[in-house]
Amino acid sequence: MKFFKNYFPILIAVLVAGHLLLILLHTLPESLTPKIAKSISGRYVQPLFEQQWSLFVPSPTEHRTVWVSKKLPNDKWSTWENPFLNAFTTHQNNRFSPAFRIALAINSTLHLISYENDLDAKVKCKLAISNGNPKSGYFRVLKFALQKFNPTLLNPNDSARIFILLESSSLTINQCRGILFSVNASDN
Amino acid sequence: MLQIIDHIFYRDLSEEYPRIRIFRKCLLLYCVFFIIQSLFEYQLLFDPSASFVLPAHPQGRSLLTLMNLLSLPTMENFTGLFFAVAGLSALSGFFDFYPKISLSLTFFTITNIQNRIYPTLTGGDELLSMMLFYLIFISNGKKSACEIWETTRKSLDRAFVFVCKAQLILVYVISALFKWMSPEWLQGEALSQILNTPEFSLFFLQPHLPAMHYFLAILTWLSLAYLSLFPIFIFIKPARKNLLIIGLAFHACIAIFMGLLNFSLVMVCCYTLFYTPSFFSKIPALRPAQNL
Repeated sequence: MKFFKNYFPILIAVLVAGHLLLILLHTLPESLTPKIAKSISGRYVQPLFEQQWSLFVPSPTEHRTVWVSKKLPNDKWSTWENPFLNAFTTHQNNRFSPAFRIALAINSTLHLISYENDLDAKVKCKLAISNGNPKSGYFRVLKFALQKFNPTLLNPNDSARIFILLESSSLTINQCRGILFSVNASDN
Repeated sequence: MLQIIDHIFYRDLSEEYPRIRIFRKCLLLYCVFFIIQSLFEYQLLFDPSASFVLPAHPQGRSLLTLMNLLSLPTMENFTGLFFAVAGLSALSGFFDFYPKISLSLTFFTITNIQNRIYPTLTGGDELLSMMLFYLIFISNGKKSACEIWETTRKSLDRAFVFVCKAQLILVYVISALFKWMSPEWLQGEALSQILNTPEFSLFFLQPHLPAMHYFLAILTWLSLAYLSLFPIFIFIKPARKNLLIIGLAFHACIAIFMGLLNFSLVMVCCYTLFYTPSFFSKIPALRPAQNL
């Protein structure tokens, strides 16, 4: 009993030290941690203790906005509209609303669409607009969100153009980049 | 070194229990808020037919799958059940009804719900999940007649109280370290750049940002100073209260101007680990139990 009373706290102390060390190795910047340590700590940390504290590092220098224009009955195109403006306005007017998750979801989706459509690889000229693949997974998520947020702007029977504009503080307005998706009513 | 180990793992925790109790209740109250808040966008975020957020697809029988059950196609219709269990267990934990079972259920369901909407998570969500897990191992201080169980209980309490505090300090250390390595933070540009992004700003503020350049630069450096000094000043007892008041203001600004309310709420809940205002003891639901 005396042995247990004396040494059990030491065992717990060793386990706690190991746990904290692995978390520290996982969260430290990559340049300060050996690759093997990152790999081992990642396997331990991921299921229950996943964390990332590089909050706003690097600070965001670019943001993406969505613009939608649909085909009118007279075969002309409507003016470009920002369909998520309302979601952002709700988020800004009421900080208690869950709209911040919507804002983050839109942000992540647009970020991932850019990768899925390999925008950067296609940027060769100053004003670069690449054609996106409407079958990409994240584009389907975006299309669903558009139909949900603004059914009058985009309903499943519309042909539309959806443009994701990437603005960056390192680019001037003449150096804008974007992805253009064409949605045909027949595709739906 | 041995003295430090002795202090952490053999010390008397009687002063800590009321604080831990308040910390636990604050986190559980936040969980209730999280559940109610998420219900308002339930259809958009969680309805399987309305996949606004693409779920990750865990594979195989692993701990990772267990913590992300709602992303399994066979489980996606059970989201409502997870919400109900999370809400009820958080409430029962708050009112001290089977606290350990309630905490375990809250941890399991909240983590699963959060992992279903992984792209929308903030650091606060991750911290909440971890703190709930650590709290499962901390007792309410009630003594046991069995000596082995009493030794185990005391050891676990001391270790996990230490882990909770160490985790919060780690957040500040790592966050400050990343910022010290970032040119934007050192040059005072970071806040200007962050507030230029619509997701983390206010529309009415954005046109005035160029005029506020120097003010924002000073705020950037002050934020950096706060993050860097927190792990030091939190150990200096006379400075602790003022440090946490500054922290409260810091997180209020993050909630209002950057819109990360949930992150700020979790961080402020975690502050109760280090300091509990005296008026908390006047709130009946937070008052320490008499039987400790």
